[in-house]
Amino acid sequence: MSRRSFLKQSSLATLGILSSPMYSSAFSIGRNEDIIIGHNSHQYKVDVNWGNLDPTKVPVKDCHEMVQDSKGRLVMLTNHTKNNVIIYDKSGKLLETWGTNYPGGHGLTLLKENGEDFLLITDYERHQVIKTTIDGKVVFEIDFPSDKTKYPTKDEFKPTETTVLPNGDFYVADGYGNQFISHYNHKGELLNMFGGKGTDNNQFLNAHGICYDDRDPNDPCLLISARAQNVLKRFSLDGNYLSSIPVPGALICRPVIHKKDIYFAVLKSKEAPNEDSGFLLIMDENNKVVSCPGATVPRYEQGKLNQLYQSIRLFQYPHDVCVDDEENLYVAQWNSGQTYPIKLTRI
Amino acid sequence: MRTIVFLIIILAFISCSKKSSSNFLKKSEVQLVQPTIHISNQLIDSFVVLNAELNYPNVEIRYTTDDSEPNKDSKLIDGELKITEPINFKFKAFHPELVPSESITTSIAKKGKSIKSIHWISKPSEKYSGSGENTLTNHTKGSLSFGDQQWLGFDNKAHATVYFEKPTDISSIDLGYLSSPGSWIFPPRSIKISISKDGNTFISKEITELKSLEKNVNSSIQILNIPIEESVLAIELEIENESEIPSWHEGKGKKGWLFMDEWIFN
Repeated sequence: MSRRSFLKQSSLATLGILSSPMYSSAFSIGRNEDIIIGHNSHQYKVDVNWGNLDPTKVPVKDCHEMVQDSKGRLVMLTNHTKNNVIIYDKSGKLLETWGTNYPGGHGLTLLKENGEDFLLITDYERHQVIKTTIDGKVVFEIDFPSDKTKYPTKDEFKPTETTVLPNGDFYVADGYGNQFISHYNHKGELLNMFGGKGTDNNQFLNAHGICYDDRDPNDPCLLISARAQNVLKRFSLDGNYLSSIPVPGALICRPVIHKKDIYFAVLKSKEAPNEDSGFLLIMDENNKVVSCPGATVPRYEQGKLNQLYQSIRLFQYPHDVCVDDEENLYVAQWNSGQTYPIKLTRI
Repeated sequence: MRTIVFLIIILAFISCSKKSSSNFLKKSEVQLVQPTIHISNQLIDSFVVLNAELNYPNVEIRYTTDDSEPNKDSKLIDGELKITEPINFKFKAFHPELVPSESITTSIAKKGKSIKSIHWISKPSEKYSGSGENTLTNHTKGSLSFGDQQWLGFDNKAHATVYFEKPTDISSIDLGYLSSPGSWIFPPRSIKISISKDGNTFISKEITELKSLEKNVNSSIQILNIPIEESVLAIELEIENESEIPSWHEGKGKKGWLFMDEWIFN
């Protein structure tokens, strides 16, 4: 099923509208206008045909994460082991695929060393973090942390995300496992661990995503999403809790920094009648929510953000958002009926 | 004549412009989400306050109270409603350009009679054990968030006996349950009610069988009304879960969850 026909099925067919004689004639020209989603400075049109591929040749299961490489190509990670990595050009044309052994391929981070692109992949089924070249050659694999008190067995390590510092150090968020954040040097040697499962400020429920935040170059920090708690937490690079940014109602996946803004896919709304109730969320340089494409208008009352929830049936379970060099967004979705990413064109 | 030719040209232009549509999604292809319902309590003691909203520009929310599907002529919500009598609402969101939402229903019932005690024969799942053994008889309904403290979740049957202080006239029982197949939560398949006049000897009063869900549906809180029309000292309730999830669901053949909300003794 194409994504466009899927969207039609989800929004129209259940109401019998496609078969209604009213549909073809009585709608105002306004109904034939492109829908614009998002608020304030960040508004988008929805391109539902971008990146559609032949599912019999290049299938996807969950589309987990997506990044843009140095050549401007869009690199997507799926947990379908026929082609775990799918690389598109910006027009949505397939360029190449690789990878057949990442059954739990989840986190995808781009890093650059001496002008060359590399990828860090987390695989929650292999319980590993894997560094590869941009064309899929394995550089190293990291198993579960050696601290037996925190990780008695490898099964408790289900990493979901990584982030890399300019010096090559990297951090791993164990969002589906025991919820620790592990800090490694560029060689993959463990330096520090912090976090863990719990509701204290320095702990997490579903530490799903992590991101190095150097928007203030004099005071860089880590942003870590506690998805089930609807909170983004700030930590120092040595693992000390700094502050929390609540996003009521939004199950935020990883933070993605582009210029001065932070972008999130929101897997679903905390309170919604339908399960597939995801949307996107964008914060400005002051970490204030300015736009929620697919959801309610973000408003602050006495400094407190209102409850956010999906308002239109567009996204199902957005899992990651990639921002390209022209400010357009690509939304990879989990559990969406094996559909390809949706492109949002900024207006 | 000139006017007619002009109109034909304009119509042809509009027709062509519709055919040469872009890749972008149209407003007419996008459906609103169901309204969110805010309610002070779903059980009326003196009154309850209800409102429905969808925070999207130019949305109107309309409702019916006779189980019919709301349309653009139905009553409009324009503020809080004060409810003093049992009632069923059906809400739907409308927008001038977008597809209307699916409808969403909510039922408001009278507060039931208080019980003396409850004896549980089956146990809820440890993860979904609500606020303890009185969760279903505390005169408080649950919300659609089944993780809240007002639900008991069972992976088999819900089986308990309730005792009243003295022989009490019970006209019917309202059993609240959750239907949320997306979360593997299914309606019960059967309900067996036995009553006792003395608290010791029970006789079978009513066995209700429910059909399996035939297709996927949105999450909703349902109420099943079972007539009793007896004076009783105790009532035994045995509610069976969906033992085999139907074939259209990803969990086909496995057990479904049973989530029980308030039991109201009228």
